[in-house]
Amino acid sequence: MSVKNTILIFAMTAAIFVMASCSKTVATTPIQFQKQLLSGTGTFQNTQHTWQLDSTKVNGVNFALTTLQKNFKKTYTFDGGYSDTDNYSGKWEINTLGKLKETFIYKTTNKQDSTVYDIVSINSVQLSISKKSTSGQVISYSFKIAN
Amino acid sequence: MMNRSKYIRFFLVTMTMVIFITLSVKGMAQDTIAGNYTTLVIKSGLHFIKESVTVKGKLEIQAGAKIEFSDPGILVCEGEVSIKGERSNKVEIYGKLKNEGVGLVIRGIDSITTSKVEISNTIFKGLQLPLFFDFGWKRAAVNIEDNNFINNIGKVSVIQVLNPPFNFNMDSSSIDFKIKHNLFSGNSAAIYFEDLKSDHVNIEVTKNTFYGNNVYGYKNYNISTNVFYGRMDQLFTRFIPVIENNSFAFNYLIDNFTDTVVHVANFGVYGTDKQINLRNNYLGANKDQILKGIHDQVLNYNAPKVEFEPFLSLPGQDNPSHIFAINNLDNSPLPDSLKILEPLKGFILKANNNVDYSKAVLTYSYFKDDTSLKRIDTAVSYDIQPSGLETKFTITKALNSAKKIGYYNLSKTSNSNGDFVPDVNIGHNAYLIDLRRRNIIAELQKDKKSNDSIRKQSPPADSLKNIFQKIEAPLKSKIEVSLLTGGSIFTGTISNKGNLFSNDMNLLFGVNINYTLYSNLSASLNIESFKLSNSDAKSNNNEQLARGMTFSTTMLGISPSINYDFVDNRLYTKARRIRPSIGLGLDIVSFTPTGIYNGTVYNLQPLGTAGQFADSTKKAYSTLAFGYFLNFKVKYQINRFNSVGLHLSYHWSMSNYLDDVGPDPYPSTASILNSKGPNKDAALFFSNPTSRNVVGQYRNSPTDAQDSYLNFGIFYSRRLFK
Repeated sequence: MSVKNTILIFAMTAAIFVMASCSKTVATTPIQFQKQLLSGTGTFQNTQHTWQLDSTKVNGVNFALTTLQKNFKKTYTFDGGYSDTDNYSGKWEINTLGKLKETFIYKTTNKQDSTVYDIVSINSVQLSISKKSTSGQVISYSFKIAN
Repeated sequence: MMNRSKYIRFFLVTMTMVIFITLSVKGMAQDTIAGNYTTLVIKSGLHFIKESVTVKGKLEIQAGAKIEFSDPGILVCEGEVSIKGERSNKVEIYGKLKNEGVGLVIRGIDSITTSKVEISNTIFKGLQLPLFFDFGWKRAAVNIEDNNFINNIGKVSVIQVLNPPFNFNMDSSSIDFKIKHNLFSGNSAAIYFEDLKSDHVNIEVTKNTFYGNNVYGYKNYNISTNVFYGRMDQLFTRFIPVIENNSFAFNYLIDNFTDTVVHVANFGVYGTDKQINLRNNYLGANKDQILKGIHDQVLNYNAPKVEFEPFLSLPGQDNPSHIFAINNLDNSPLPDSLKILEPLKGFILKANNNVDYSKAVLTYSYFKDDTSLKRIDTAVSYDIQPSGLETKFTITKALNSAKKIGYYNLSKTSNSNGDFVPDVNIGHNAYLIDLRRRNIIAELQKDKKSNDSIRKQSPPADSLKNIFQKIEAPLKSKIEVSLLTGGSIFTGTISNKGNLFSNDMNLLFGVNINYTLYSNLSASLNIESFKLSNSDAKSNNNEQLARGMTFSTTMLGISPSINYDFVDNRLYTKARRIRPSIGLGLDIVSFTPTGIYNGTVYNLQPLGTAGQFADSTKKAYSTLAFGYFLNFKVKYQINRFNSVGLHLSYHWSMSNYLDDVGPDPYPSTASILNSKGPNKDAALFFSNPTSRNVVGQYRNSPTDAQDSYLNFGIFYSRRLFK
């Protein structure tokens, strides 16, 4: 075998090996990312996020909260579980970007209900959601992380 | 009557059953526990845990079970826990010597509301963290009774109890948490409660013995460097902890750097409450002695006051057996700091109940000379005269220690029921100080010896002068150019330090110019372009997994180095085609750490993820860093001009920020929101990707922050001129 061939085979073999072993970045979809911000990634000690109510607006006007209301917390687990400090539990879903659906059972009446919120904004420490009440008012809730 | 064939058939069936049962029993008695279980019953016999094992439902460990934990072995319990040994047939949970595993973690909220944690007659020994009640745990009750926690090596905690879940405040139920009649001895860490006073955990710590524990810290005595500590906050009002009838004796704070005793270290408390009740415990013979081992309002005016009066002047007889006082033959107390230069004539030991010294072994260990580490260990013969719970030891063997410092150790004692009684050391604190002095002298002498050996070396025939001979050749013929490629692996802060190949590997390209200086010495200049990336998710360290950071950076480096070539550069023979070399050099690298937030790649340095832009006293780190490296090459000489080979180099960077994660405290959310940095959403995310509660914590260990990486691959070289 000529020198050129020896070098070529050596280089090709090594390059194929290295290229095959190199790490590849797996992209996260926007919906998946929104889910991870809301509830954690499911990795060690990141299996749920708890959000504490910070402020509320009705039709864009601040609505004063009592101390008890300010202690209200929602917990979303990465596998779709939902609970809050009002003792409601159920599940949550984001099937469309920016739409958070909560399904839970009222403990007193044992009746299942669901609510769909618009996710106004979310980052790793703040969550802002809104919904239209039956009377047509737009109610916005701002939460802060409370892990 | 059976005929012969029936006999044979009966014999074969019986033998098969015997073999099957023997194999089954052997299999049951010694196995490796691995993976996840719905429920788990561990029966009597030897078992091994070598990795993370999770039990979702009930965990039952039966009397006689022996479970060896080797690193990173950990048993995570998410349901009921029942570990019940018997007084004469205990459960043993222990760490493998020199590769100790973690221990038990109680975590999560059990869906069965009546499930409990009950641990009795169990020995926890040589573990990193024997019992850890992880944040957010909840069970109906906890009862830890009649156990021995001895010689556990972890320096974090022996038992650590964090709080139940946040929304638990709304719940009227509570947890009865009892630690009763346990022996804590020879451990290297403390018992820690996040909140001693609580609205949902009713704590009772009674009749325990805390004897001879060494809590590791630094020279300053503080709240957490005590064998028992926690917080008392006015915020909670429902349950006040009951800590009574415990005995604290010979517990010390040990300095991490010098391994010497700093302080007596029994109890520490902090928080907003005014006081904590520690009455009716044995903490020492008198008030002055007791005050030395308590960290409270006396030392920190923000902390609660420890009310310890009335205190017990003797430990209770029903506490686990231990020696609580050591006196001279005239019954005056022997001080902790006693320096024994001459052997004692005897001493008096005071125990809290009947201790059996019939099998006890007394040794005297002392240094042979003034400076070296040579030690003589001598078994000492003695007479004993019991008088109630006091025992007088009169040493009958005359020893000549030549006035060198030493200490006594009394081991292999038990109580009248055969229970373990911890060893007694006399003069050990002063011995440790002298040992430290001798270690320093030994290190200095070692350095001096290596210096001397260099000076004394006589030049042999094959001396340095002969090895590094000048090459009489034109300058251009000494130059060799290489193209190299391969992979790079980051091994710094965000990496798996236990398993190199579980980290990310990225492509590397480079050019090398080599100049032959002498027959066996050459200088090189590398220009390399490569990528480094990694993720905490690849680590097997729990702290890193919880941190959840990832990064990627392009690297451009220029690296001069000097190499020792094992084969003479002047030679070209077919017999010496394989030519290894080793070298060391300096790196100058440019880097740009990046991360992905919501599908967009961000440069991390301008974001100030450690709060660099939140504080006017801080500034962003430089993206140009120096470093140093070791390299190894093996070259296969194809002919006089061409060669191919393998290269491997390990690089240490002098910047801690190749991965953007330096030894900085986590910045507060408010400080990032108020900072002048751009893209605050991304900055908040990259600062703490898992949104954990990290108040007061560091993003990276301040003591082990250095970043490093490994480059390796193949190269092709060509000598350009004749």
